[in-house]
Amino acid sequence: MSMMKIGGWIKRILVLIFALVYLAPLYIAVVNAVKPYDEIIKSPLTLPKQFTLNNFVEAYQSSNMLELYKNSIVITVSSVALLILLTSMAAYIIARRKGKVYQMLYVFSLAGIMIPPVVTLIPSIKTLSALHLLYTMPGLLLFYAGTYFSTTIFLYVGFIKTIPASLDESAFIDGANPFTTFFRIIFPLIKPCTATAIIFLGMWIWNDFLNPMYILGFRGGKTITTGIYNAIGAYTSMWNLVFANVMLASLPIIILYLCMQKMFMQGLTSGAVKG
Amino acid sequence: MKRMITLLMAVILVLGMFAGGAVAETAKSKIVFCVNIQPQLPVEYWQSIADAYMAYNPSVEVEIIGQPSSNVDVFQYEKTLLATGQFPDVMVMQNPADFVPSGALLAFDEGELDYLLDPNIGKIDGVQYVANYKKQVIGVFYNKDIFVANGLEVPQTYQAFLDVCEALKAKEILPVSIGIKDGWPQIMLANMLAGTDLLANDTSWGIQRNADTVKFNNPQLVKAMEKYQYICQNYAGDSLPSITYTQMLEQFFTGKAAMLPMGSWVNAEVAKAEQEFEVGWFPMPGDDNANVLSVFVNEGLSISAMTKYPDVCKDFVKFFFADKALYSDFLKGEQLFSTTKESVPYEMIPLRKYIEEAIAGMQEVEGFESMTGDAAFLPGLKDYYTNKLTQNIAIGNDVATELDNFDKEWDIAKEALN
Amino acid sequence: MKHNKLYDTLFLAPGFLVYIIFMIIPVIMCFLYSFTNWDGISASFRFIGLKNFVNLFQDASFFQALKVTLIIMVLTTLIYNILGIILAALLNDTGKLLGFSRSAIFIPTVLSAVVVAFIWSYVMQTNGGVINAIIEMFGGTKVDFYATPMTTIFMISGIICWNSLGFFVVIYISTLTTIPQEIYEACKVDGAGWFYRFFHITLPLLAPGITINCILSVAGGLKQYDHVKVITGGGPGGATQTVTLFGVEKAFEYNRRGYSSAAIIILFIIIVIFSIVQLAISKKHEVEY
Repeated sequence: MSMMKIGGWIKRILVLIFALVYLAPLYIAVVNAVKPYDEIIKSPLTLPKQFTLNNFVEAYQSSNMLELYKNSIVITVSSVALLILLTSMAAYIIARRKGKVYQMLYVFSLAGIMIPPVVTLIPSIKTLSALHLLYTMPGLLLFYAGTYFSTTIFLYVGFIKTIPASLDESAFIDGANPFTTFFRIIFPLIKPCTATAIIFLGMWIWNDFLNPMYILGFRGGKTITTGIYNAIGAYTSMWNLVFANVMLASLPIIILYLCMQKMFMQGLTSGAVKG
Repeated sequence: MKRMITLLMAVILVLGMFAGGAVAETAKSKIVFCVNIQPQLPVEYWQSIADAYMAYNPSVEVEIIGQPSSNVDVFQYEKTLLATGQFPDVMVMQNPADFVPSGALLAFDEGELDYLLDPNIGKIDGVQYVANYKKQVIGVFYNKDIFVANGLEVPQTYQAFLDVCEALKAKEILPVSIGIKDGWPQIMLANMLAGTDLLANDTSWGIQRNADTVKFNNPQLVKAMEKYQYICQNYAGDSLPSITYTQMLEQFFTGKAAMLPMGSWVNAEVAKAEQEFEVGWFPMPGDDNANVLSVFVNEGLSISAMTKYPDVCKDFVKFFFADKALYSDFLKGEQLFSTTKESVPYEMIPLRKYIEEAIAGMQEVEGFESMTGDAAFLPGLKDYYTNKLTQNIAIGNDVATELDNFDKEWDIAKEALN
Repeated sequence: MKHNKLYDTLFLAPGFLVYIIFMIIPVIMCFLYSFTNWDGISASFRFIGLKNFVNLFQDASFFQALKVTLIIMVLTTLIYNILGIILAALLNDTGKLLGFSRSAIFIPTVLSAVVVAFIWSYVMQTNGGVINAIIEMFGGTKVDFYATPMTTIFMISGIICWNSLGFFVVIYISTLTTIPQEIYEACKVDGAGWFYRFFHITLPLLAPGITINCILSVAGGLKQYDHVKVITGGGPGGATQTVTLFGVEKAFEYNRRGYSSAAIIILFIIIVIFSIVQLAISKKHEVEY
């Protein structure tokens, strides 16, 4: 074997070791989620001697898990859909039009990235309350649409700029109105960017706990993240239950990521970075 | 044409979303009751109070809300509710001083709370805003088996307490269980010492502080805090910042630590009877005797000044105390001391009965950071005491400097009030 | 080509409307409140000019919060970008092993801050924690990560990085894939070694990726709230409080909403300044090929 090849193999093995160590905390969470409490105290690192699913059952029963999942899914899917719709449309105009006004509009739209998280919560609650949307899911959707607008438009504008404007022109000449041009021609072409946006937004919204906690409040229901935050808060040292809750909240999104990996890598590689 | 229809449908959908939130007007009066949801006082308990009241007064609808998550402090959440125009009609209240300046609370009339043992506790400028519903006492829970096995007696003086700690330490038993990670458990010990060394001799100290005639940086409080620091540094183990409240309880109830300075709600844990030893209790002794008891009497029910139904709210508050079955359930959860003139018996564990007898005749002072009425700390100072002062002193910062900073914080808070 | 202004507005309006209502207006209100003595709950307040800002500059705990925030920002940015580039370079190749490693490093990114904080709180426990269990297995003495504020801050930064390193690695990998192989081929012909290739070709061409990642990690580090809140709550004694935590505390515990708003506005200005500076530097260094 040449020096290059040996070097290549050494590199791969070292990286693999790093990756395995990197995942170790997750291993700990998984392995301890299926152990009874006493075994965790005695031997936190080993594979379970007394494999049990009781922790999951208890975690499932103590919060209304099915409803939590349902709420999280509904909120995440609708928020992401709303965001993609509103932002891609706005990004299309900003990417295509020339002129100082549109440049300034773009910079204005990016301000959101620099705004610290807690600034917007209280005023938004007041606004939602005035609109009779507080403690409701539509209210939370609108809040997310406003909050993640900046990051999403940043992704879209960069990507749309890589699509030649000549496509728009030919569509216009063929008599299409802007809606048709955008939805029939441009939107399908920016799929990789949409895929990236779906994954990032989906991740952030699914994992968010502060905003749903205050906007849905006590009566609006809980998401899976606020639900486990609530459950874990009560048992900071019942580690078996903590880890079972953690697993119940994280497994769906880990599985989703593993399934969508290819599309996601494609999306990032094809152009999100070109901005 | 298709596009116009799609657009129209979208508009209808949006309007539909807005309409969904519209509130239908009913004939009933509706009040919102904000409660403190705890493991021993779950939503179901509070709902049973609401149901009982609605059965008693069918023209009223009571809605229960609580903190949106177990790690959010409901009393702070109430501030958020007030800030966003969602202030509840009736609520559990701990810091009326935080709300009174903004006029958010409704005053109870003179004589209205006469069913309470002491309707005057916590009056601010002569006005009562809180119907105090529980009393809790602070003390030291101890492992009787360990004491007996090592020939130790319940200390009657502070020096005796130190001797007990030394003896335990020599036998490699953790004398005291304290942890500062959760932010508040350590104040129990600090409060008891402030009680024995400062408040016992000067019961109006809190009022004087509010009048600015005394400062936190005074010899008695310095002495009390130095005692507190000494115990934290020498007898509580070496990883204070990483120990949570649950771990504090665990250390004590698994027999690792011999003593646990905590409030009387620990009786609820003792009641679970998971420990393998007998639990005892004694109050933290002062220099010469063990006659001073720090108590918490700062929590109760308050009514919003903006409520549409003040009479209903007042009736509801009265009902809470009057319904003996429900009130006794409330007390039983944490083995509390009732605040009503009429006694409210409930199933008490032996330790709780013992405590009640032991404290008869002791001098009661209010928990240092939870003093009520005109003696109350200014907004934010209670949190400063809990999250900054007692934590910093526990990890070894200079006591006089910390108390000085505390005084400075007080001045800043006072200025902010104007 | 004539653009129908009506259609343009229809496209722009919904998104910008929501953005303005839920992001811009709150920031403007925050800016206005910073000049008042509002307690957050009363109906009335007074304008007190720059008093809040003056007080902030005399507030030791605010400076502590700034210090903590800046340290976290610097540590996380360094780790994300240095370790991120190295890992991206190592992982930018074919093969099942590398594919698995890439996934493994990205998985923690999909976990929420709460989950990450809880798992690591367990791992880092002084008594009974995993790290200390391993150390003791090898005969060493326990390490108390909470011993001093500095060690706690280092620990927190490490945990934050564990959570999001994968995100930055992936962005770097995709930037690397845009560098044409021909350049490397040309270099090898010229006899350039790995070191030279990395520092004189890879890094400069990574510049756009570095810019984006630095802006995001700097902004993210400065805004830090979630992880610190769950891991230490800002304690002990406020020693690990970040500026956002400071703002929340002042607003909701001290009833000083105006003061809190001033602190947040200062943070916002700092973030904006850092972003502008980074953009300016990157414009100078961007290499076209």
